[in-house]
Parts: sequence; structure tokens; C-alpha cells
Amino acid sequence: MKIYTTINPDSLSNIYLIKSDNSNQGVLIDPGSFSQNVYQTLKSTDIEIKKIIITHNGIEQINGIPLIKKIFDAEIYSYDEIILDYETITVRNDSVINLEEMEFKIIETPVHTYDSISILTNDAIFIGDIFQAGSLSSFIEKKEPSQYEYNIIKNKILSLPDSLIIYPGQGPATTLELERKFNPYFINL
Amino acid sequence: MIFLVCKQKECSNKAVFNEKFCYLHSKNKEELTAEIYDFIKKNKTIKDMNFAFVPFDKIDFSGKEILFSRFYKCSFNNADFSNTSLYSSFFDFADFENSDFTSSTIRFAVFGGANLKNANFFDVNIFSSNFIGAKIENTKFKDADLSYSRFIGAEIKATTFYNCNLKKAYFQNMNFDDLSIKTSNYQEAILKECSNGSNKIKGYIE
Repeated sequence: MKIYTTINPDSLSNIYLIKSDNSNQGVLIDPGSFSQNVYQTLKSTDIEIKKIIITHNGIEQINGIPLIKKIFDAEIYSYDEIILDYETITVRNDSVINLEEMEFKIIETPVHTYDSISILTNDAIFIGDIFQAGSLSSFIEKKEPSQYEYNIIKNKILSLPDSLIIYPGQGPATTLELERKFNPYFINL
Repeated sequence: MIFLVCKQKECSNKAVFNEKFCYLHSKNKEELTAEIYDFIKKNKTIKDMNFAFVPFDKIDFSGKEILFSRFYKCSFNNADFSNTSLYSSFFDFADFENSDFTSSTIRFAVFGGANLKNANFFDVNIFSSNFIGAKIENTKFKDADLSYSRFIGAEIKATTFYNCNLKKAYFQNMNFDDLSIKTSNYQEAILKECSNGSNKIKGYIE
């Protein structure tokens, strides 16, 4: 499994392409755009997108879907039943999505939005906008999670192994060990 | 990056290089280390490798392309990373003393918790990389593009940021004890509770 990161140039949110080691089939997480850099990453990696997983129904996560659907016959997985005008395969806690040797387990993490999910796979987790490296989901709006939301982060994410790599919806990747030690919002959790 | 777990009972580290054990539990460290150095020397591209805990002091990585690899708690003292391309690789809690990153390209890399001492980052392109909790001392960032990188919780001492692109670079609770940051576009950085000597400095977001 290879994880490629590219950026939605409009919102600077991350778009992740995950390619199987066994074939050129892959998964796309949060295609917020289908801009030149997304196209180039798809072309250079020769990925055939079979599945699209949406961490939550936001413009920065879904805007690229129509163009991608024109190119690839990809299924959409989401907490929501409809994304744009597309019917999705709805996922809930412990849903598992398989493609080739890859397995993606869904964890409901309603922090940033009610429909936020995290996607756990082997040594990595894609957390959408529930938090970012060293920060909360939105350091610009200065919105701090409620105690309920903190508990979700604590019990569902921070309880996972230290070596887990975290791929957030915005900003650089991080690890669970780094977040536990240095994220000022989690140090005392 | 999927690495197998070390075969040693109750060890959760990942197996190193092409081994079944992690570096700490490898049966013949000397031989393994030599094998790894030989691999580094012979290959321009280093991809999908776990080298956690391996010492890389004085190793020449210049001109190499390093992708999807893990260097957790490695030491790179006097290592040469000039003209190196690092993509989506993890150097968390690694030690870099007298390491040279001149003209390197670093994208989506993680240096969180790392110790950087007397390191040079001249003419580097560092995009969306993670330096949270890093200890950075006597290090020079010059003509460096640090846009969208994060230095939250980093400890910075006697470190210069001369003519750097700090667009949306995120610094928090830091005291820049050198005036060099004034030569960079710090106004476009995110500076939370940051100061320059006794003066508070303001960025894009305070």
C-alpha cells in the first residue's frame, strides 16, 4: 500500500490516494477538487480509482467527485446516504471496506461535523478534519471541541498505538506519539 | 508504508529493512548496519523502508530520493542531505547534528520531536512538513521555503530564519532570539504567542 498526498489548491485541504501493492487499483479519500495537481498525481501513479471515501460531507472533501466519476467507475463510501447527487454506500462504526490486499475500518468520530468518520488502515489513520498536527480542526476559527468531542478524540483516536501515522484533512501528517506529547490541546487529556 | 511487526516476543516495533526483527532486536547489528549502509550507497531511490533506530552518522544521502520511509529515532549526525528529495517520510524523534540539507526538497515529511543542532537548511523547499515539538538549536534556515509547515511546541534556540518564505508556517509559543525573522515574510506566518526578544511579533494570525 502506498499513500500519496496531494493538495486541493482552492482550500489547501489534503487529498489522499492509496494504491494497492498488488495492482494499480486504489482508493481516493476526500477529493475536494480535480485540479491539475490531482490529475498529475493520478497520472504519475497510474492509479485506477475504485473507491472514494469521504470523511465528512464538506465542499473541501467532495467537490472533485463529479469529474472523478466521469473518469472512473468508483463507488462512494460515506456516513451520508447522498453526496452531491450520488447515492453512496453508507458506512458506520466498524464497517470495513476492502480493496485488493487493503482493508479500511471505519470509526465514527463526530467531532468536526456530525457525519465525520475516521478511516483506519494498517499503520495509518485518516482523520478528516477532527484535528490537525499540533492543533485542533480549525485554528483559524478558534473553535474548541466540547468535552463530548474531546472524549471521542481521547477514546477513539488517542487510545490507538503510538506508532500510528495520522493523515489529517489539513496540514502535514503526524503520529499519535507526537500528538500525545506535543499537541497543546491533548497533553492533559 | 506497511511494515511487519518485530518477531521478538512483546516487541511492538516494526521490523527493520528486510529483516524479521526490529533494529534493537536484530541478531547481528554490525552486519545488518553494514548491509544497510551498502544499500544506501548503491541505491538512488530509497522507498518503503523502515530504518527505525538505525545510526546513520556521517552517511551521504546527497542526491537521493527518499519516499514512504520511516527513520524513527535514527541519528544522522554529520549526515549529508544536500540535493536530497524527501517525500512522505518520517524522521520523528531523530537526531540531526551538523546535518546539511542544502538545496533539498522536503514535502509532507515529519521531523516532529527531532533534535536539530547546527543543521543547515539553505535554499531548501520544505512544504507542508511537521516540526512539532522539535528542538532546533544553532540551525540556519536561509532562502528556505517553509510554507505550510508546522513548528508548534518546537523549542528554538540561536536559530536564524533569513529570507525565508513563511507563508502559513505555524509557530506557537516561541521566542525568536534572532532578528533574522524580520527578513522573512513573518507577516504571512501564523504566529501564536510568539516574540522576538522582549517584543511580541504579529503574523497572519496572532
